[in-house]
Amino acid sequence: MSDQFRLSRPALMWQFIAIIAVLLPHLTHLPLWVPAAIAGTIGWRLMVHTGRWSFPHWSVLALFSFLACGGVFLSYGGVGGVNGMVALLIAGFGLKSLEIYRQRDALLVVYVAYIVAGSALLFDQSIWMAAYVLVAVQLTTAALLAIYQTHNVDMGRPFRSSAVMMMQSLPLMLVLFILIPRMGPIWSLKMDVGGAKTGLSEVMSPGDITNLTRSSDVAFRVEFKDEPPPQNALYWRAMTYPDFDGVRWYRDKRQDELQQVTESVQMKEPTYRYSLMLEPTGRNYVPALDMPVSLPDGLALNSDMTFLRDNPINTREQFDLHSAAQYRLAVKSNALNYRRELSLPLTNPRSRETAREWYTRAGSPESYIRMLMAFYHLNFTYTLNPGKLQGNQIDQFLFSSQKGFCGHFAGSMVFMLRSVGIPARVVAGYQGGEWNPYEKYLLVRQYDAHAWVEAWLPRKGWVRFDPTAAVAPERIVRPAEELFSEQESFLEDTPLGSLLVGRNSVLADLWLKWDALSYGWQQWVVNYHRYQNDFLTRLLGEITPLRLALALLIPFVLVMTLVALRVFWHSWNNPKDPHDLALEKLSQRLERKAGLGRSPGETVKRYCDRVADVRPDLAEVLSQIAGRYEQMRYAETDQLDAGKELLAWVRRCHSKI
Amino acid sequence: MFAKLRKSLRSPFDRWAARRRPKGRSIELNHKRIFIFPSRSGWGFIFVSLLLLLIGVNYENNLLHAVAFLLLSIFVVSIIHTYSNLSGINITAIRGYPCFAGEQAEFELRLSGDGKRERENVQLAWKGCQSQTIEMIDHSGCTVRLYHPAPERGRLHPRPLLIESVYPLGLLRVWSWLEVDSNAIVYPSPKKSLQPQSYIRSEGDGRMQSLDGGEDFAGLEQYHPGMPLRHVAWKTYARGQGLHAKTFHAEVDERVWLDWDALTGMSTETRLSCLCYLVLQLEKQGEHYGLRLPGRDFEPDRGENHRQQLLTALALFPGGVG
Repeated sequence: MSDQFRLSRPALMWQFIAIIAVLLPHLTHLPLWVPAAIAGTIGWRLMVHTGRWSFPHWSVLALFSFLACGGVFLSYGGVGGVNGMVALLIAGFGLKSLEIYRQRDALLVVYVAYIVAGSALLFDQSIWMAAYVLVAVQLTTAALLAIYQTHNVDMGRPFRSSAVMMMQSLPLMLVLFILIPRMGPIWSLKMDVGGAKTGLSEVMSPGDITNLTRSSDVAFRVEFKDEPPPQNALYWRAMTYPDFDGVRWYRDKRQDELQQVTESVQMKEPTYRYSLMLEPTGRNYVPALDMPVSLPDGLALNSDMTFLRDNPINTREQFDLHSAAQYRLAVKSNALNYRRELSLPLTNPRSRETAREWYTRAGSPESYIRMLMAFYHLNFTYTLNPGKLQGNQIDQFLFSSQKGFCGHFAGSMVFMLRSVGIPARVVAGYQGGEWNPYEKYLLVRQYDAHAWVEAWLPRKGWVRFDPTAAVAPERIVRPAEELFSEQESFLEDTPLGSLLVGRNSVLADLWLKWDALSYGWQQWVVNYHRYQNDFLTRLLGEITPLRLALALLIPFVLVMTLVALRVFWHSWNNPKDPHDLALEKLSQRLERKAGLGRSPGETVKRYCDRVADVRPDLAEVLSQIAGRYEQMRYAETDQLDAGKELLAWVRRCHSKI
Repeated sequence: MFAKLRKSLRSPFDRWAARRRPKGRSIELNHKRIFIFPSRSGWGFIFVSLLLLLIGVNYENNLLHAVAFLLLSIFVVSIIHTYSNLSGINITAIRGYPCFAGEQAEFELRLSGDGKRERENVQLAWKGCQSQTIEMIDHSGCTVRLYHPAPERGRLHPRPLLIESVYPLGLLRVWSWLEVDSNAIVYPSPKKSLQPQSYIRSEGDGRMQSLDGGEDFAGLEQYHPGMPLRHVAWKTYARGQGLHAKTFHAEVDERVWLDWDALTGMSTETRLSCLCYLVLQLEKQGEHYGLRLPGRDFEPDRGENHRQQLLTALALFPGGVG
């Protein structure tokens, strides 16, 4: 292979810069051996470059490729998922970097680098990552440009030139981004993005929700189309736990059968339309305000009127929902339909006994529930550090410790209800939220997680009871962070969390602003496909292919014209060499005076000879002009002087005409 | 079959393109003469962009859409950058240097740009020949020497000139085919004659004669067109004393005649080759030599000019190319 296709040293360095730049964002999810192996190959290639080592034999490369494939296969259990594919791609181009020698090798590396850079956005779509990927794409473009530079080959010029080209490309990208219509997925792909996610668990032991209060992570954000409901009506139902084994509560497993909704709902105005942007949870529940009255695409409704999704939620997603806060659910049903909501293990004898006793005393379910609420209100303390319970936990909680958190209250109340034959279940979700004044949305964090009770009463259907509200009413009417901020374990897991929440700190305000920005980013950029139609309709009126094409074409032409202007500016600014200009003027003058213009393609020498034949008076001057011109252009020395003299002779010629 | 089809499709196109090819000593590249099309790596780049777009579509990832659009935009912007790398270049044929048949003829071309636009990684090549990479960074342009195979004696008109570039990103190839009006004299390839008596030696009178091409500097004389530029006294000229040529004197004592008719029993081309060899030989020995060709005589003389004159006469002897 000819040497002219060999890479220059700066081009090689740019290759490595590009490889490292696109690799960095993947470090969080790659197994450690991949970056280590790539560092090794780059090191080897550098040793080759300095001449100390040689290129590896093909058998060594084959062995490495085999090991890399095997390694990816073992680390991911196959390469079907995105993680595995990306890891394989990265390992592959890491190996290729060892082989970079010619332009073609470098091209392959650069093209794969573009894909690796882009795929970082599959794992993280934050503003930071987007900005970083932009930089990575620019560095990769610099690496591409470095392959082709021949003049003054150095490290700086590819960077500057590619930066200029990126700047010129960004407006075009924006036009394409806004106008190109999005289509739905061509085939369904599953994201198996790993990583710890916080959210509600499918199993609740009474202390679980306290774990969530240690986290100020965002659970979801809600934007209401109209007036938001009052704070104490903000019950976000996520799932119900009908099954109890004496210690833990389990999520309704009937989700697997995807039962059709059989329960009847009667609702009262006002209803609320809102869009809910859910952070990844790794599970398939979708919280909704109280009672959903419409079923959006992609979601299924469980029989307990909570939403389910086929796939776990692994990326931030948005749902347009419609809910009623005042409703009646399953009024016409029968207590016997709820055998599961009545079943209890044979534990906690004291609670059962007491329940039966109180129920006889109360006479009706309603007054029995009132009695229970009063019991909670009078005797219990709300705390995030309730201490450990053992044995018959509900007995212990109700009659001795009497300190607890929403999970304890809800669990014990359901037990007391079921003990007397009232169908009841624990509902888990979130309560409340914090209003972000900058973007006008409700921010619900993990520490807003809550558990409460739903009981089925004849002629009333499923009714919500919140024993926590009876113990600590302020928990319901005030945002959680005000309430908890004195408690020690609150936000224990988020070290700086306490600085970022709360009303009075400047940092908290900044945090809200930042959150507003990233919400806007999520809303308008990451989820642009949801708004594109509305946005384009507002922009163009009715969307027709013609209008879309025009809208695409006009800014495109505009931007391209501007870019062309900038690129060609020099040539229009300095149209010609002064000597050529002077000669041109002279020939124009001769054309006017004597019809002796210079024909296109005629050399200066030939032209001067031709004119001298017709005008012998100018022969001397013209031969000087021709001589000087040739000397200026083609002699090895004295070019500058010749140029000056040429101008002088042209002036003399003008005066002679 | 496809190759055939492509060929039959291509040849009318080639003819059309050849008709459109600009001709002349000095040609400026403009939009009428420049072709631009994605290169192979450009198609690769588009493939990468579409692949990213496909991933973006399947994962409903708008940011990946944005990256794909960014790459496509870079492609579009690079059209202008690549085009500007070639447009506005003025190519002037300066001269073609003589050579012997079977060697490579050297052509000198001058490239100048309009204004200060920088051009880089521009390749120039005669059709089917080794290319040369040039760059034009400042106002002054550049001079490039290109080699062209010269298999036969005669006047060599070079093949079409290809000027192309893929700078800056290699995504697009921009090119132009030019018919540059230039020529080079190709001398017959020298060949040693086996005939011992291939030239006639006649005794000279031994006096000093003023002849071009000697070694001893004799003075200056008025420059006339056709004198070797090598002899132009640039310093005198720079002092404003007019264009002069340096003349040289040489000792003359022998005169040799090369005769076409003396070489018998061989073809025209071989004869010319032998004569060529003898001219070179005699010039090297510092002799005065003349040449008799059918219908044309060259008086004995010596020196570079004389040699060139004789070799040119041999090169252009009827029956050759050009």
